[in-house]
Amino acid sequence: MEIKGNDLFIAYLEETLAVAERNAFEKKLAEDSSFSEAFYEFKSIYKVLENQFSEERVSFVESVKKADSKFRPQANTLQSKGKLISFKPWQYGVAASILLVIGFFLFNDSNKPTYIEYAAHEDISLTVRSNTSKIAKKAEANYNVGNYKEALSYFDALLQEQPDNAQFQYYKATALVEINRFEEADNLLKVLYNGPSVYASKAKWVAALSMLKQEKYKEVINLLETIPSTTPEYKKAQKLLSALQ
Amino acid sequence: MTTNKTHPDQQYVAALVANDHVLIDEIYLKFVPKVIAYICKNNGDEASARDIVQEALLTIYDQAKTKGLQLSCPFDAYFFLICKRKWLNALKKSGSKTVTIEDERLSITDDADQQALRTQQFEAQQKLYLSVLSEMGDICKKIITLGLTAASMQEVADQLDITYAYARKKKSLCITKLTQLIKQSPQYRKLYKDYY
Repeated sequence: MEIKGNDLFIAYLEETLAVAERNAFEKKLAEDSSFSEAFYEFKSIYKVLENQFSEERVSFVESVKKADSKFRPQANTLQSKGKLISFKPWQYGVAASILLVIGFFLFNDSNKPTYIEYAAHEDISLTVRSNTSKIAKKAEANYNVGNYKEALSYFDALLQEQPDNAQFQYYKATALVEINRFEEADNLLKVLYNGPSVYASKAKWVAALSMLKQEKYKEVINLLETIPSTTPEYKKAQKLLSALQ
Repeated sequence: MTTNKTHPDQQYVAALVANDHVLIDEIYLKFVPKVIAYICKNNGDEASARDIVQEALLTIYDQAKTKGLQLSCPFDAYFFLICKRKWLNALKKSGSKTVTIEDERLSITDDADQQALRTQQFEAQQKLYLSVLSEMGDICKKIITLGLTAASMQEVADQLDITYAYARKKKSLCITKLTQLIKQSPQYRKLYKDYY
């Protein structure tokens, strides 16, 4: 009995009832107080759970995190009192040796630019046909909060509908680089930067970043040197080139 | 006493629901420093204060999104009270001695106190639902989590490698089981009565 009742509640809340059924449901809500009480009690639980797993909530959490880091003081003033360590005199010597060792590794390695310094993904807003807009929204939501693996499955679904869509191919490739599936990413990017789409120079830039992440510095330079000066990617390409040389 | 008149600061609650970056920034600029100062004066540090602020904003968002929160008092006092209570609870849990130094720059009205209390009651309800869900079997947990997101039941069926019809039936059964378990829990009636 209750299973049937909850089925009906779920169908109403998910707006899957036919018009006549919906009208009958609403009539019963207005007339039958025990039915309405049971429904609103169910709804109060359902809505809390629905919100808990929604993509909007994920985006909201991301916005709060962004605001938090935006209004955070400089790192050196944020140390909590409990984390301060007091040194005994003999420990200064040990600390100095540790610093020397760290310094050696830092200077040995930090001359090379890293992927993370250059791979800044702007929030995306996909241009889509109405029949795929729901999937595109999910792709956007996941991509924009850094859930690249999930975003990827939605880009694949979009590409099944429109296999030649350069926009979807481009974002799929950037997501692939993020999750270190380099071979697939590099192949897809190669098709894009050799093609005629508006994503060609963007794809070349991401291809260079993919090589940077793989520490294939020679390939990074080769790709960057062929980014035309007339494209928006030229300036950052030059910056990365000079950091590499 | 609470009044039904919506306060102009409802704009901040609406901004949280709408994920409005400009007003979220404004909340951080105008209201968060007071919370940080309070927590730092009461056995806390800035990092803990920032965690409390994020939790409080998320609770307000959840309440507004699911229960349509209408603010009848200034956001400043309401938000401060939520953060303060969260912090005092955290101190209590960790067994730390609580020293309560009130922030004199704020005037805490009955309205703010009532609204903060309702948010606290909402949060307790929400925690109960999630804790009951966490005790359910893996299939039900998965089907409820996936089935309640925007994903279609076909996608859920594909992900779980079951048929569409079975996914629909299972989702309904799991939700029914979950609501039954929630209602059977000893705290449920009191929390439901408190909030409604």
